[in-house]
Amino acid sequence: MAEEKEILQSNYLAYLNEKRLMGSECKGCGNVDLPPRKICSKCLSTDTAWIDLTDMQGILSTFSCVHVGTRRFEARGFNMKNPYAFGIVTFDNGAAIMGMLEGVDPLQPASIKIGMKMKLKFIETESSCGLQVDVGFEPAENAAEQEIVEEFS
Amino acid sequence: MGKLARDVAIVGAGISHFGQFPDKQIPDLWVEAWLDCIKNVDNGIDVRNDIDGGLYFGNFTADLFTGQGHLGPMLADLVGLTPKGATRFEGACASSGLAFRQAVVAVASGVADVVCIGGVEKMTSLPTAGVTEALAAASDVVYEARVGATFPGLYANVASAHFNKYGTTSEDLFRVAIKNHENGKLNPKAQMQMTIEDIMNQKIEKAKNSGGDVPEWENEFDFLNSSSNPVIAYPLRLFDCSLITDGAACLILAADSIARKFTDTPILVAGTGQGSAALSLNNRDTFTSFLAARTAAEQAYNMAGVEPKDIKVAEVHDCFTIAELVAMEDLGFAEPGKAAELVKDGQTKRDGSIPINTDGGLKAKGHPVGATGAAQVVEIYKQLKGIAGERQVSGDPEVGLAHNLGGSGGTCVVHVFKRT
Repeated sequence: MAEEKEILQSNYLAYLNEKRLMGSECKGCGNVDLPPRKICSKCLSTDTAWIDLTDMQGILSTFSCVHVGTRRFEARGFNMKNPYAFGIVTFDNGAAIMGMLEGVDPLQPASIKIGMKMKLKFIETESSCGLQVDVGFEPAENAAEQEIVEEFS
Repeated sequence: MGKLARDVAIVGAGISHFGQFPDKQIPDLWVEAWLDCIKNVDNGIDVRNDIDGGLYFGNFTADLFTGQGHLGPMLADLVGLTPKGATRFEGACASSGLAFRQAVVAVASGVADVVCIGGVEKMTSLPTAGVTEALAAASDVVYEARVGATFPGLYANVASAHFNKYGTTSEDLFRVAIKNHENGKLNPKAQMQMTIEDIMNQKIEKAKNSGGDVPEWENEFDFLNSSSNPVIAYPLRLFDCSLITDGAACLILAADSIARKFTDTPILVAGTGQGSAALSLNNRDTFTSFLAARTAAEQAYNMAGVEPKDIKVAEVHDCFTIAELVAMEDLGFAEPGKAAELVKDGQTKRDGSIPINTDGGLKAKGHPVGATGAAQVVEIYKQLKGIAGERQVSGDPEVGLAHNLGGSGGTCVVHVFKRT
């Protein structure tokens, strides 16, 4: 469905707060940019439009488990003994985005595998400006099964 | 295109002590580096008359660390450079590399004959979480920092990808730290003048004296694999990270045609290069190499007319141990994925084929982010002149290189230097 909103960072974040992950698709070359861009990163065309990536799955391209975070993450209860994971997930269409990883154990980083199939899981936090929704991911169900198979093979 | 309009040479270089100095603020650190530089201009310099081009200054974020902006005139005034122009350059951890490059361009263009370059960062006035937050301003604050990226975390993403693609291991990273600490021990200006073995033995002694459990580490690797080297951002541990440092550096550049007025052995800026890349790691084509670094290196090598094998001493941006391996690969010292072998073989030690970070690097000398790029050039200047003291590399090196990376590779500046 065509989206009328201008491609602006504020609109990207507004969509995110509605739990929609929106990128941009170039009508010229078909490239998908995430976060969205007015100017296509591949062919520089300005004929770009919103594309909804909310239901897409991707693979975990790389990750880290953070034990020393910023004050904002410390305030959320993360610390040396309670780390969080974040990483980059790449979708089939080539677009990639960074997000926190849930449904994985940051204290067992060896169990987190590059190449795992991941799906979006929006992460809600309370900020001084009210509810904030951020990009996050969790293992897709088939990835979990795949891992179990690997473990017992 | 790709050439300097006239030759430019370094005629003086100095740095402050690097470390944690509660009693030294930005002006103090800068004046210390300036005085060290001026006293080391072999034939002397008349500051007010000789330095016609003013000050090119690198600083990342005094604004966030200390609340102070507008450093150019403030610091120029303290050393007698006003009313000449004084400009601050910002490119995260590559800030003073950028300042150096712009100073080179200014002298090469004929706008000025002699200029001063400086860099400073005062980092230790904030607690670690505050430093982490200030540094995170060099990442994309909306698309990276907001979802949990920290600088150790971003380089940890690079490390995870490098481990996965090439089979690089934590032990490969430990070797970089061990080597840089060995060099730092020989640098009287370094923040940590101790080898990792010294640090390990100190901890054992401390445990013995306090009557607690005495750790039974067989060697440095054992120690680095223990809980005494905590994970900061998996797979990176404490000893994979550079230091939080106060420090400053200073250089004097002159047109080559007049450089011998100041020293009989000026060091030529043979090549300069600069590259950029998307700020967010997720918008890059690869996570195991930095496009900005490859771009800057290609320009600098081409301008200097040299190849990676010609470089006999190099300073590379080891903000994290993994970054030294990636830098070696981006600079062509090793094929992609092969840098760890070169380190394991001892080739990057002071007596190896390509000595790297002879001053201890960011890892042991320290990493006052806005001063780092200039401080790297100070070390290459000393090595090429043969005045690096105990840590001087053998073989009378004629060609050196400095690689200064900003953020997680959004900015990179590479310079090639030659003895004339």
